[in-house]
Amino acid sequence: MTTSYILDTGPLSTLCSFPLNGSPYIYTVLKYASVLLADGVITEAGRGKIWRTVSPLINTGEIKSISSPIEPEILDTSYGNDLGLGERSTIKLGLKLGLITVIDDRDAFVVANRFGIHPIGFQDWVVKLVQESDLSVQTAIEIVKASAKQYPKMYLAHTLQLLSSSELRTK
Amino acid sequence: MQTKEAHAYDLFLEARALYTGKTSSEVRSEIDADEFEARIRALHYQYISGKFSFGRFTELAGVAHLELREILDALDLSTHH
Repeated sequence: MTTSYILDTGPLSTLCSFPLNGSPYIYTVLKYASVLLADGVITEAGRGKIWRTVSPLINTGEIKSISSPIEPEILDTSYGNDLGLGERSTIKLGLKLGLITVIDDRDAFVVANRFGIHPIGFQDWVVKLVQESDLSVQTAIEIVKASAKQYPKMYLAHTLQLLSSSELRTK
Repeated sequence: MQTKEAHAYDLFLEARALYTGKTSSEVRSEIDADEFEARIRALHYQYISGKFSFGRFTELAGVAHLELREILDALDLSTHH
């Protein structure tokens, strides 16, 4: 039984765009985690080339698509000009389901916290998959290094240290 | 050799076509290379200044997440604050 996580469009795009042994590493990650996507994320994914990867996974049920609630409406009225549809939809679904939410955008991350959900960033999620779901440290390092350019440089050394610590704990 | 700006414009045409369901030629007729670059740099400045999120940036630019990252990368513009 794998733990379920709600992913925003940013982390989903990262998973679908970088290859691990020639194929996007979403295929590897799905062995260690269940991925839920809010309908707003599906809409955004459907407008880009990651849809070629995401669509079949939804059709086979390997990724689940869930409608986010309308509430809290203030997310749209107050933040509609500042956050994207996927980000607002992800926060609403996180509130509704109470699952761990993976959000990379700084503004969306802060707003999510204001609503009482405590998201994690992509790199911390990868660390979590090592610590809690037996994703190998080697694979995690490969994923983190391949996608490092998308995140502030200062995160990388810390993330690699966390992964090294995880490896020591499992030995 | 193609300039980075020309490469970014080509990426935009393809991404915008996918985003809207139009053809690249239709997108090209709607926004020329200079207009594209001015707009994307202006939006990027606002994004970096904290005016809106990356998700909102994609909506305003009219391209999807991954494609916007590739366009910014081609222009040597940072994709994070």
